[in-house]
Amino acid sequence: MLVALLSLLQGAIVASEEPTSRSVAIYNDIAFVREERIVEVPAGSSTIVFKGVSDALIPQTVVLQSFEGVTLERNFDSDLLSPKTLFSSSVGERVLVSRLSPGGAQQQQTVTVVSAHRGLVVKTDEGLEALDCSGLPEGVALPRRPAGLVSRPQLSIQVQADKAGEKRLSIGYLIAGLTWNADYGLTLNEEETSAHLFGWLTMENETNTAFAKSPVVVIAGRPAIDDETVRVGPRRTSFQERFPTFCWPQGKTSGPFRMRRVLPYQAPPVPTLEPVMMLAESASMRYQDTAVSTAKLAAQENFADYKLFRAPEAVSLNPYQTKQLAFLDVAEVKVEKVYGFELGAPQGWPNGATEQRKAVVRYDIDNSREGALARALPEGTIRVFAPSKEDGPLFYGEDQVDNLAVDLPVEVRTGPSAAVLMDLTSSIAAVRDEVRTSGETTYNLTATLTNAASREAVAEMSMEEAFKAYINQAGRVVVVEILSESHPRMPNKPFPTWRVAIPAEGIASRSWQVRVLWSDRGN
Amino acid sequence: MIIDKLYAFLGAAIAINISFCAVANDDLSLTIYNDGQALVIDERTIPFSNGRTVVSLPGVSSQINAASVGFLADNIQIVEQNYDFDLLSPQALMEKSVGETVTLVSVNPGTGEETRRKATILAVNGGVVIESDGKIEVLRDDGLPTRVIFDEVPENLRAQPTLSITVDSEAASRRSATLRYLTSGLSWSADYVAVFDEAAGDIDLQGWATMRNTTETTFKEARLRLITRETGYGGRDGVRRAGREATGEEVLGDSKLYTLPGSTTLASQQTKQVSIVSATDVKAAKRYEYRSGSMASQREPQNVDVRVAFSNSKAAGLNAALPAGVVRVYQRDSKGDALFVGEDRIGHVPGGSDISIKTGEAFDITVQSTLREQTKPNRRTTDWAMDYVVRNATDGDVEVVLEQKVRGAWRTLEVRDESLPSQRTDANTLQWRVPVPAEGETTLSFTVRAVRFR
Repeated sequence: MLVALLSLLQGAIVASEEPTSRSVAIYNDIAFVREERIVEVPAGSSTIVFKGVSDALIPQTVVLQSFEGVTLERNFDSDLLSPKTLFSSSVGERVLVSRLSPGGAQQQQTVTVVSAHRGLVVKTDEGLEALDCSGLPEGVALPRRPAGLVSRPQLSIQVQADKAGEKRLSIGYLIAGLTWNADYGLTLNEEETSAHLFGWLTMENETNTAFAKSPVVVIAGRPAIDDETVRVGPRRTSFQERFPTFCWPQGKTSGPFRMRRVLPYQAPPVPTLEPVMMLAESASMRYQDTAVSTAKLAAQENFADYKLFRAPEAVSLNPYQTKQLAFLDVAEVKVEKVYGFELGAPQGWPNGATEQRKAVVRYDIDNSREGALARALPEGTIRVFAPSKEDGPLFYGEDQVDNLAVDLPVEVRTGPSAAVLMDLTSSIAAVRDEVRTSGETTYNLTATLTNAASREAVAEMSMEEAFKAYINQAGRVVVVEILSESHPRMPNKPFPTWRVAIPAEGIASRSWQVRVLWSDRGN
Repeated sequence: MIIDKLYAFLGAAIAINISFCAVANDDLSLTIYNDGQALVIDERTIPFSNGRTVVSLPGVSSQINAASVGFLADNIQIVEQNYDFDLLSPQALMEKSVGETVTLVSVNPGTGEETRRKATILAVNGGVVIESDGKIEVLRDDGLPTRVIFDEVPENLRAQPTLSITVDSEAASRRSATLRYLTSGLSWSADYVAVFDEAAGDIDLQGWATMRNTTETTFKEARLRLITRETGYGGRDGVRRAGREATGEEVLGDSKLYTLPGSTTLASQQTKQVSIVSATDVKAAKRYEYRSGSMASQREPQNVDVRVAFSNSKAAGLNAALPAGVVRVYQRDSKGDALFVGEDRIGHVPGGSDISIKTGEAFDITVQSTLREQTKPNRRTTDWAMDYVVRNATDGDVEVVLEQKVRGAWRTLEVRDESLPSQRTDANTLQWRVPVPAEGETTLSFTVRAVRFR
């Protein structure tokens, strides 16, 4: 009766069972789903219920496009049918309790639910009883499904249409849990001067929704996302849907202290991960084997101020699935291997000491406009593979790269190397005007570099740390001035940097005089 | 209905002189504020009896602020108001039955035979101690299944939080009464859909009021009012120049008031949206901005912010105040599909304001700073020579607004040298408009001298 009354007030209820088509735009941390639906809308006011929308829908982000009627209101109902809501809505109702006696006899009794707060209290002809406290197996059955509780979160709109007819509706919404990032494989040649660069768009669907045969675009760049959108997010089923029973204390005179079902909740279940399926097998390990024809690559275009990659054909994304699409395959990219050293900050230059430092191996990928690559590179992980004599390329190291526009330096650091080493000798040449709160120290620095490899090595020494240490942790202001340098620094570097070629099995050295002014009193 | 049944039952168990609200609400109105509370005005017809009467009011919000309750009816005087949230649960039932007599039904595990006996509850501390047939024992100490049957609901235990008001009534009649209270768990904010057409330089804006009911109460057939209220945080987010155009909305004090037509049901755990603003072809423009708060070199280039600027003025085609919320910007891709671009939060925006919202970062436009030189000509004076390289990998010319903050309290702050003319936007902030050609770069160089007070 109540339902009939409600439907009278809201007009007819029309269900849209499934979208006729669905497309997905995936961003690094969020995704936007568009659905086309066809609904038979009656004249006057009606409620359209959208079935089959993603569980991960963020309700406040729903967009309704192309509907030439008046939308009165939109509702997202998430009062879910769960043990908790089932019982709390059954207060005052008559329910059937069945018990199994130890003798094997099944007892059934009709009772009235009096309370459903931390356990069920029911009224029988004899008096009041709490269920599930006696130690007997007890079950409760309701005569009908309570009104107003939905099985899954439900999106509906109330509309006013001038005349009845079939309407095409387009809805869009943001969802959480469908994300992507790029994975690159850089396979170096023997000389480490050129490489094959391969790129995957790796999409992860951590929602319960299957996107079957959907057009997919992937968007590279950083859209602004409000904290609240991510925090509120979709409604997740959790312990609050459960119905914990708290009986009276069950302590006894003997044996360990036993409490049956008194813990308020258990940890939520861990979702079982389905086996990960990839378009290419073990893609991250052996890139050179994955021959992907250019036609299959996701094409790149501009969208707003982002880069958009369009999947060449419709993609199926199953729940808890990782899927990869190729977007980049360039055979001969120019690469330069550089051994990077950091000369450190003044506090690391003790008088008369020599310190040994290891190089960090860096591969600079040429992404200039004239080069073979000349492509916008979305953020992700680059894995470097180096050739081996017998087994072909082997994994060598990995690094993260940011979103990089064409012509920006692409630097991949794979880790320290013991092939090229630096001995840094420091000595204090002069100390001036030293008082408690300020002073001036002049250092002589000499770097001696050795190369144990059978190829010439290019090394770069940077004073980034010294120049970044203008304000160090103690609030001390440090100004670093380079008084002299044995060789000129590199042009157009944000921090003073020197480059040196060390012959195979050879040695090279560079020296500097640096003055450091320091003060404890702010700027 | 369900609740009424229960109360009929509970009432019989508790007292005699109790009056119940057996009829549905005559009129229910909700006034929802931004800050997560709402004023509920609930009119009911109540059959008052003569003399002292306890009026139980079921169906009030589960998150009622009990201290805010006001109850008004003709010819009554309020004696006391109670909000009982001592809820009936198996454990509470047992604890409140100490000293009472219950019936124990034990089942013989071998035969299934039931034995009944009376017992008195002595204590409920870690276990239940009972007295039966003159002997003291622990309930279910033998581990055998034992049901406990209680005779009645102990006083003051309720199935749901219940508001009860004791009144002195001067006449026995059905009279209309008004219940007013504040509740938490109801909130609203605005959500805007802005479809930005970059080429045409306009947006289509639709504003929705999003209401959330996180209480366990369903408010049936309620009249809804929404009131904007400064929430402390957010402030003037997104407003670049505050407007001074009066817009047509209803006001309450300095707040805007939105009254929704008709009545609607706001169900428990429901998110409801209704349209409050709609405008097409509102003038809008895209801007690139970069703000720097320090004088330092950056190893890696930084992406500039992309912003969409528009105005809610009459002249721009949007004559409406905008309540605080999130603006989501959409743009069409090469296939004509509107895709999400980014979102930003705005505060309550008065009419006629200039608004600028950040939609994201530009993939192809970056800024990289180099501190060319820092010198201290004397103890109080610092000179910084900065280079900002602005790179543009797009195929069009762009302009980037670059802002440099020089943190600190300065006696003087002066630009000694600059490659482009700066504008001083406040004491510590300098701003440059940097034109960058397509697939090119522009280096902005400047030297700033700051002198401390001491």
